[in-house]
Amino acid sequence: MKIKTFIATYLLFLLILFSSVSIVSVYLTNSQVDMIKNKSAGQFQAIAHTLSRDIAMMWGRGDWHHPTFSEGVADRVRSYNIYYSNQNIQLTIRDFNFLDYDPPESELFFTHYADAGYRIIVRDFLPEPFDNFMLEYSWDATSDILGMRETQNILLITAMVFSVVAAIALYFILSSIFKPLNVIAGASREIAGGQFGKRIKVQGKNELAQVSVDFNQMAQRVEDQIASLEEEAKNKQQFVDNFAHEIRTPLTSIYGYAEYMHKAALSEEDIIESAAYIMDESRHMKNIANSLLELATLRDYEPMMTTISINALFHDVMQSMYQSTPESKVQLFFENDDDNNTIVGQEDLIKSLLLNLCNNAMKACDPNNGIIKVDAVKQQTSVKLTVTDNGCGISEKDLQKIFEPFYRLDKSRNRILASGGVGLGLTLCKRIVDVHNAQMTITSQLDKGTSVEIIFTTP
Amino acid sequence: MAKILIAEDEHAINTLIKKNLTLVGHSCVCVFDGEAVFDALEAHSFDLILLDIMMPKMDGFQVLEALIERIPVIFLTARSAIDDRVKGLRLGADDYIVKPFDMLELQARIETVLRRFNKADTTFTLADVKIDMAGQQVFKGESFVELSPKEFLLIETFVKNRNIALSRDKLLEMVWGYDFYGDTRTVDVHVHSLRKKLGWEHMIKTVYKTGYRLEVAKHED
Repeated sequence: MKIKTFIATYLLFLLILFSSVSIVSVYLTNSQVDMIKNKSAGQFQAIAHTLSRDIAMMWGRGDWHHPTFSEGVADRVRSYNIYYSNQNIQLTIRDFNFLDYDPPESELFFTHYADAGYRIIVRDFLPEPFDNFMLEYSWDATSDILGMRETQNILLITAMVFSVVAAIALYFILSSIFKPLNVIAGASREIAGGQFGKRIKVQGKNELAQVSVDFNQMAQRVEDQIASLEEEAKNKQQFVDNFAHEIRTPLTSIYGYAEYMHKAALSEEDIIESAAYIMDESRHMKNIANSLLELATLRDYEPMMTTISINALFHDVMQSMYQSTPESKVQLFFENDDDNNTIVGQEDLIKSLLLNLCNNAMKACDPNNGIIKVDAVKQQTSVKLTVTDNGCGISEKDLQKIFEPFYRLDKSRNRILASGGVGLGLTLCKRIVDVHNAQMTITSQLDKGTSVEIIFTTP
Repeated sequence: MAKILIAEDEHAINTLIKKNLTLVGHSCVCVFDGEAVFDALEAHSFDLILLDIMMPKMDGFQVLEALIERIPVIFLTARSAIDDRVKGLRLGADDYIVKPFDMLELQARIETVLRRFNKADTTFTLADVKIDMAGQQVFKGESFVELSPKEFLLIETFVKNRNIALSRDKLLEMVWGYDFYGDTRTVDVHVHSLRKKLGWEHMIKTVYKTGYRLEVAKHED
């Protein structure tokens, strides 16, 4: 790019420079030649005029010492030649009354002789009545012509020197113009090589600075995208790893017990016990499958929005909770600050969300003096639902992983099996909250309790 | 018969291992977390510990590091990463079994470790038949029973995997080896001859659609 620009600009420069130099030199030459011609013509006229006057006087006086008139004239011209020799002028006269060839055209021209250099020749007949005489005037213009040549050469050399100077200047100017581009090129190469954190320092306010700003924005965008893709891939991998482990454990039991039943001689007690394990683990796998299916259905799901009365919702949730854990001593409180409070959403999803959160709270609580509070508070354009418990709380470290599929706070699989949970509850809750464009935040303190806040922004 | 401690937090797996080991005559104690291992060690002495790695309170690695007595230990875990295996073996474990495991594989590995520590049975008695594993001799009553090497291997396999149904294919593999091109009828012929020589017509049962099983009354401790 830089080299192309350099060549193009430089060629254009040379074209303009040398055409101007040629034009100037042609003009100078022409005007000089014209001048020389005019001068010679003028001189010729003057000489011819004087000569013809002299001849007329000679003719009138009959004053010539030569056998013929013609020779007398030639003699006269010789004396002229002596006079003009210091001006480098040579005159020749020819009498065409006595010459047996036709006189040449009268003309004015330059000619070049190897021994005498450049001369300007003027030929013309003398004025009447002496027009049988042709006067030839020859002036040595070598010095003038050489002077012209020298001028031309000086012009040419100057132009060449200037072109070299211009080439160097152009190179440096282009380098400084292209420097930011080189910086951008270097940065993009590094980004292409995987260093997505690379940025360009923006200088000035010209177009290139704008390009740099845009470039930086693009790089930032790419970096963010890559980061989010990596994050997503990591989450997926995590999910697959967790899932594999989650499936392998029940399968180990199921296969093991089936193999045992297949190969050993069993008592009735053995059969019942083994089959019960197989059934338990199968049920657990079924729960996992159901939850996963539910999660998959909720991906990009458009909930069927209806207006739900908070009072009715709380009533339903309370009923379900009492039905599922009739003997629990954990106290459940439902509070709604305004009987007209409503939220917009798909009723069964919202109910399942609240039930999930209540069940989680129930698991966290001390069975003897646990308290769970479910609140609805009207805000300006939204309703805030809060589920608070006074249970064991969640540590800072766990709080970050709590939405990961199959992540469990209670690591004991025996209790998990007994509770029927598969470790997807909060993941499901998050999905439900997301499809409703609501926001969920969890705050917790170890041994003090946990509070889950959901703000439904839909009016 | 060996006395084995099973430390595994999952009830289903723990019970499964116990059932399997009891079949072949071992006696087992089950604990469900790392700390309970030491309580059990105080109460009994064991020939072998089957140790899960991911357990509450103390994980398997910690248990192994804290063990003072030199008891053979086999790790039994879902963690299949090479690093975990190497770490387990470096810490002094005698074997490392990755879940899910095969019943016969588990038996075989336990048997191997026990033999290494000279804790495996060298004799086995059933009814009036006495088998001397080390001497490779079998007596019925007082009289020596003449067995071919393959027949002895077969009876040994049955004894070690007693109460477990062994398919004909599995028996071919265990007794004759992978590269044996024979028919499964070879197994039938040998089993028939064993039954006759030892008078075990009712001990070696034919299991429907499977193979054979040596049935011995379970020891109850």
